[in-house]
Amino acid sequence: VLVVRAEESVESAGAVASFETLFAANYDDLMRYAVRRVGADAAGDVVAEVFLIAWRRRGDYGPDAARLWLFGVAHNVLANEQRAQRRRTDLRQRAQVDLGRASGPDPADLATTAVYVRQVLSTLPWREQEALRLTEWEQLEPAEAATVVGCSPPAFRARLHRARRRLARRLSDSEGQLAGAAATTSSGASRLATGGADEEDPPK
Amino acid sequence: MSTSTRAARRLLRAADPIKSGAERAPQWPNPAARETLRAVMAHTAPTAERPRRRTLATRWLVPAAAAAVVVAVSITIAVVGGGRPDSAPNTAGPGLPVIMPAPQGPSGSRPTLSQGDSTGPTQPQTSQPPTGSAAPTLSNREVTQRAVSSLLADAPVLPGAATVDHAPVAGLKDPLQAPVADNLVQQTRWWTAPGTVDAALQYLKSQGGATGLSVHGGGSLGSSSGEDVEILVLVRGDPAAGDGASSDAYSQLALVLGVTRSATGVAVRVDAQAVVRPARSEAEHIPDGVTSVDIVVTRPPESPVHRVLTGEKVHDLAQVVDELATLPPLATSCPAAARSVQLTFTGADVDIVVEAGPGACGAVTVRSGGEFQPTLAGGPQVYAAVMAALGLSSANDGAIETPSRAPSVSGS
Repeated sequence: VLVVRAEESVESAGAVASFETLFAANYDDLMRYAVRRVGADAAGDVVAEVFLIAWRRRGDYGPDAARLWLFGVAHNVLANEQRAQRRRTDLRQRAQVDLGRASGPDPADLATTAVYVRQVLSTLPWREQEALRLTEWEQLEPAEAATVVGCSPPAFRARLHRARRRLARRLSDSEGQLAGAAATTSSGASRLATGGADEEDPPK
Repeated sequence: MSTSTRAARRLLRAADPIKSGAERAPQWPNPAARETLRAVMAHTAPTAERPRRRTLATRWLVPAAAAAVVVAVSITIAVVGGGRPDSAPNTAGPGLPVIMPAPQGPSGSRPTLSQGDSTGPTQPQTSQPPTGSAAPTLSNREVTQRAVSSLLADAPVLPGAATVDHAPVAGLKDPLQAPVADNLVQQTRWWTAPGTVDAALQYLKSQGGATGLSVHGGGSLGSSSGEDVEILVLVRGDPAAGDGASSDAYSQLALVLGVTRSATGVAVRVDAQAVVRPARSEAEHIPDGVTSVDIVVTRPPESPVHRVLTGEKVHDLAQVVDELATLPPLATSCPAAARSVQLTFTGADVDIVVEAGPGACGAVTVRSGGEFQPTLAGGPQVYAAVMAALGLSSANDGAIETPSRAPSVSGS
């Protein structure tokens, strides 16, 4: 009995230490991912949920793949969270949208290009939004993002390509509003919107 | 002027809520994070479990797939055993993790924490969930095997149950029911436990609900030993919102429990099973260079409708096709389809023909460069998307309506 307990204790201590390392190494990335999706107020709960699942299933993943495994869990947690929020607030949101249509766009909402681009992003199909967020905001490689969302890399690349084109088209369609929003900032967004100078190499 | 994709990407990066200053993300280490870490690692005993948020309930899969599972399971059980359908609602609360006695066996007899969260990476919403494997991409069979293993691990266990490595009674020797498919993946476990069959079924139903599983059918099966085997079929998720039975990698994921009387109480057979979908081929993904789609809609007795679309609608339709999973290799009997759509995607190095119908079987055939590719599932989605793109009604196929919005290029 003593031998068994000693072995369990050693295993437990090792698990705690490695999990603390895992937590510290991935907390920032997962927190940013969650904050971008649900805001800072709810992000703490989401990240806690992710690590709780990771703690329970700590035998299910290895150290090499832990980061993407955690992102995959976070992806599912956030998807569930958003579905639940949508169900809860659907009626209220519809009322707000109707009110917004009746009174025209709120100038405050168009005060910055970033807000406006996020609004345009939100009009894309959800899967395309997620493809863009994972690659542009979370800086995941397409193959990594494919693992997170659970599809094949070729399928993800096709999805991402279409998402980029669709976003560009939507931004073009509403270029007047974008230019108006950009004019209120000093970021030169209108120049960026037309594909002007300062091009960067796209992430691979 | 138009926004280039590169410029759009740059705008998007600049619109990052954190980089743009709209949101601020706390960084490790901070007191709240330390508290989170401490609380997470304190979750080793049932009394330490905090109530799980209902937002984590498994309500995230396709209702159509749920219906397919119900139909398939019901039909199979009815054929095999003439059993009674049983779709009793879960009586347990949301997916609260619970401690249950582990099966006795080589792994020891310590209690184990059941995986009440189906939000984990083996959720079948993803065809290739992240796993402990170093390889980022898994085959459909590997994904299916992991999903089956995960489901089996989540199977509710009767109090006092002991694992046995073979069928404890003759009636549980053979699989209880399974889809007729070549690509079936199945893992089996047997238990014995004290108690009665009725009490065992009641417990399994309630505990299944507590761990995120839903009752999707049941029945009664006669056996050679003379004792009836009561069958309970559980799947992940909520039948009302969808199911956890299907993904891009597999379909028909289910936990089939058989309970029968034994000399010491009850004997239980648990089969976790799923059908592996064939992998999608690279060739049937529609390249981004597609510029137009030639559509022929056949809806007898009306004359076929022929249109050519360009622009965003082409990419929308291509996306619908690209998002489909392959059709699982199940033995099915489908009526001949009278209504169908044929889409010929063309463009630079693009020669893909897609045919689909609105029928329940939902097969979508794809020819790329004249070569047939693995058949896809989702005919009704493709059919509906085409009808919507053409401004035609798919609800009433008795009459062909005039398109409410003319396609961008006229057809013949």
